[in-house]
Amino acid sequence: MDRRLEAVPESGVVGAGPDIPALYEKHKDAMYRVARSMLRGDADHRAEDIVQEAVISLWRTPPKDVESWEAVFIQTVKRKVYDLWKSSANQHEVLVLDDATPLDDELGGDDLGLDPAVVIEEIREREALVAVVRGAMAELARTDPEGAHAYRQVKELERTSQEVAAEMGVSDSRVRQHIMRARKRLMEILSASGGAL
Amino acid sequence: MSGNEFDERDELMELLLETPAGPERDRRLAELDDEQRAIFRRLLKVDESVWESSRGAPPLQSDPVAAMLGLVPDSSFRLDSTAFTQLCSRHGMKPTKLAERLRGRGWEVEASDVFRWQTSVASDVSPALIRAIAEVIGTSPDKLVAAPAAKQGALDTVADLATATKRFGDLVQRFALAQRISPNMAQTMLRTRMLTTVQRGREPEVEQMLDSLEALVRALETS
Repeated sequence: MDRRLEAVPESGVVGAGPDIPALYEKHKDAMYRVARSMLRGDADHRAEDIVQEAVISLWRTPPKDVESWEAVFIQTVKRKVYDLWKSSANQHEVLVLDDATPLDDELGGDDLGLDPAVVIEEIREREALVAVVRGAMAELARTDPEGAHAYRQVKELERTSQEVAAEMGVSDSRVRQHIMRARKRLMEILSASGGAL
Repeated sequence: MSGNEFDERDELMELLLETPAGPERDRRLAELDDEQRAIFRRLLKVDESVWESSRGAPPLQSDPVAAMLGLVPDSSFRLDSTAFTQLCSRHGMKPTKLAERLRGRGWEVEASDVFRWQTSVASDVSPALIRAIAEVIGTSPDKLVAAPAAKQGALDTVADLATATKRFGDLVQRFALAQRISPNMAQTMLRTRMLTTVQRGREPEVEQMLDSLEALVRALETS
């Protein structure tokens, strides 16, 4: 067994007949984050369906001798997304996803990032980054509320700068200026907190 | 890009960062020199980190998966403090022991939570947790729940219409069988599942709601 994996057992759960609902409650944010990140740009918003399918498959037939349920949940989500990509490619659907979407012939083998130890490391990195970015965004909102608002509206909520400009009563260009300034300040905050990207 | 100035090049960079991934963005990226492309990637990474940091699970009350799993507390399947205390006592289950057993199953429960459930209204205990408590104590979930509270508000109308159908009744029976739970508990979980759909802003018809439940139950029945 991989020693990195042995180092991260889920305290109190291994071998104790865990409840899938309880584990979902614990790991749902990570599941949604991975699904939404992998399916960013999917107009059909299938991330929720992917999470549901993953949970149903684990609920119906829970795996045995699990070292890390967190890794199992994330692996299952990733597999479901890969299945969706394969199925979309086979059906010649126009599924415009992000740049990282692998081609059909790239799917398979051991290079899917599904190794439990790799998955756990990836989750830890993601969660740490999320915490740092959230803290930096809170700081930005305090020091530059107008810039933080424009940045959040466009980059988090995926609204267009035109929509935000109309709401703020300024030009599109002014909104983009707010965004540039906010991002620059955000990068400074992140850098100062040791979380530079 | 320097100070707070915002020149034409900055404007073009921001426009490019707003362009969704795809052929159009690739084409415009190809027109940039290496330095500008490197700047674009660095700025995009910041934007993507911010986007991702805001993308967790939906709130519990509007999370259909949580509803399906029985994680959304519901007044029609509420822990009865008196019955819970009596059954704990009868089975010699102390709060510390119960909390420890529940934690062993993955629930984040402390002995102080168990004390609270015994001494005040336990409206935050979900059907799934009630089921786990019942299994630990060695009783049935139905023996731990209070009589349903007062009827719900107007928001539930479509769900109410759906629950009144024979088809919903059949689905409840199938779901109860697949999950090895009582029809009472199954009804609560399926009804809550329909309510999360309504709360997420969709207003499906009764048949659409039932079709969605049918697909869910069928998926759980398939071995």
